[in-house]
Amino acid sequence: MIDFERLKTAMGELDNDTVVALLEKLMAEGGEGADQALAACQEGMNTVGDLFESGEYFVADLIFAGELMTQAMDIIKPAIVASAGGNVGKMLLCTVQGDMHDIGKNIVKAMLEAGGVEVVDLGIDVAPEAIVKAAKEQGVKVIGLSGVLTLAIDSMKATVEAFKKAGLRDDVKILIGGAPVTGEYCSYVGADAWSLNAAKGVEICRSWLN
Amino acid sequence: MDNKIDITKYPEGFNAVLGLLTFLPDDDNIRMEYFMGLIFTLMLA
Amino acid sequence: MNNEELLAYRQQIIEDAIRMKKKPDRTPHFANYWTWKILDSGYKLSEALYDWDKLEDSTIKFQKKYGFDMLVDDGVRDPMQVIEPIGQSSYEVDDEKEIMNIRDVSFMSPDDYDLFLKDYPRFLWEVVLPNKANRFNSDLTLEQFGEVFNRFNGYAKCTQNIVSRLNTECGTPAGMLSTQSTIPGYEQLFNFYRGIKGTASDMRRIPDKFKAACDLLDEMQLYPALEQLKTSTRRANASVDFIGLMLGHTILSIKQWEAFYWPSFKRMLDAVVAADKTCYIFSEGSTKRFWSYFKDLPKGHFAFHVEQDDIFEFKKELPNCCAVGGMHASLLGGGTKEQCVSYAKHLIDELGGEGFILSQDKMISYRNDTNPENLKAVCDFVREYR
Repeated sequence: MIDFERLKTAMGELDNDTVVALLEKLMAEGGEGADQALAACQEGMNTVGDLFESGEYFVADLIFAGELMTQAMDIIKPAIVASAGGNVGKMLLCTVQGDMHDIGKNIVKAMLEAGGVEVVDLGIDVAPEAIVKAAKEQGVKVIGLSGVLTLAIDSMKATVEAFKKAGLRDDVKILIGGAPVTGEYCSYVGADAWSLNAAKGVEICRSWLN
Repeated sequence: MDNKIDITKYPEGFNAVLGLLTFLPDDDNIRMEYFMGLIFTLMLA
Repeated sequence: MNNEELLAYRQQIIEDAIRMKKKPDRTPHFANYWTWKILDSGYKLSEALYDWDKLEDSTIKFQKKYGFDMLVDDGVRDPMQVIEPIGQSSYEVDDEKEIMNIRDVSFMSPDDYDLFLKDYPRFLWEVVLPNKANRFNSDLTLEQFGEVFNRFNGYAKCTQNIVSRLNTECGTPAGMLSTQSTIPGYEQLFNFYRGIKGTASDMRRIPDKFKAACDLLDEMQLYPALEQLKTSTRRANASVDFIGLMLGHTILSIKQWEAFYWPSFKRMLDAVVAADKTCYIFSEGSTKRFWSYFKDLPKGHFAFHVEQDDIFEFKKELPNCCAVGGMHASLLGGGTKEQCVSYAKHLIDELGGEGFILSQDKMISYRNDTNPENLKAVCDFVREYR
């Protein structure tokens, strides 16, 4: 059995070599304790979030944390038997129409998943109608819209309008995030909240899901 | 022009391409500076 | 004023705003306009991006219509035509939606650092070019590659034409592409070779190699350029001596900034001061986390573009630096003429005088980023307001 406390610390410190070595050891020994390992990784990701909040980590660290978490999941996935960390709920996430940027969205996704949120990722350049359709089909009440280009603002607005048109606006909470987003743009778009940083975005989504 | 040269090879392809820069003075430093400027521009494209 | 006098006047008010020794005659106004210029001139994006004459025309038309004091982008930021003979541009242009997108791509893998550090020209030839240009392969002939040089010369000529016409027909100094500038090693790795994800990963997985690559580029390019700054004189048609970029800081933690960014950036800032030059730093995103590093810069040398931060706060925290920006894209795009002019007046009343250049906070690229009537009203107002 591996040292889960050490795994958690290594994940928080983004110590790639230690995380990989510990998880590979666990798998080599038959995979027992994979659920605990996953929980330790998720706790480590919470540390990453805390260090971001305190200003010690920044975006590059979050990108790397997402990469490391994905790598960790790939190693232990075959041995995972139950959902660890609890399921907080399900939400939808995408980069809006006309915008191909996915880094910000992926950071938010990794942090949400590490926090036990099931994320339906619709990808990039997603049309308003496709977002509404997916929300309906999946029964999702929380929507995260991401974008980097200034034109994403208009797509975000069009998405909010599409929810109104479908008669679903009051059923969903919509968060917008990404470089061009501001308080003024949030009002213009008609979203419920906005965020420039992933950690705050995750916090808002989790509060809505709870 | 010799089309048989595999221009992706270094240094032979590279030198053959630099040899096209006959509109510049016959000076390695000037040609290299021009090449670096080209690479910079290609990276913006 | 004739155009020659107008050029000198514009150079003077920009100089006064940055030097901060005397109040400029009026607040200078920089255009942070990019592909929007093309659309506003009535061209499709691809039409102008693939035709030097149309690109030139759209830039000159834009300046004749609005009359800025400097165009940050002189019109040739996207030299897509140059790469065409050997590969596809990294940009995707959609004329119908009037959109240009670029994906975060890396043109080298972490394993390539060894060659990068050992033999840089070879690395460019064997690694970067084949990854960047999808038709750079053994079937390519010398003649076909020669077309790249023709395009590159056409690009250089287009830049010269634009700058020359901006000077003589519009009385406007040169912008980013025609002023002395060098991109630091970290920025090159971030913007050109490794992309955002690659950079984030390398700084964690192979920090020593990443740092060595930054240093190598700085030794080859940045430091010699800074050495030249000591003896060079400003280009006659420019309004600042040097233009610096601050783009890739947006992802760095303070620890990473101190390890990978600040040492060479500081050397650049110090060289500008030592040579008693002026420098416009085109900075994206928020720079607030790094303001403490700029607090001790001597007054009268630097102008920073303020994109995401509050420009009033910037001026309060860094009274030693000139602030460029203030006008919100959200207002220019969604507000009324009266709102835009009133906000421009507010900015000039509060910040005008030494140390402020009005500009748009965001890089204006898409049609809805600005209503042309709003822009015209603001430009006319700024030129007249004292």
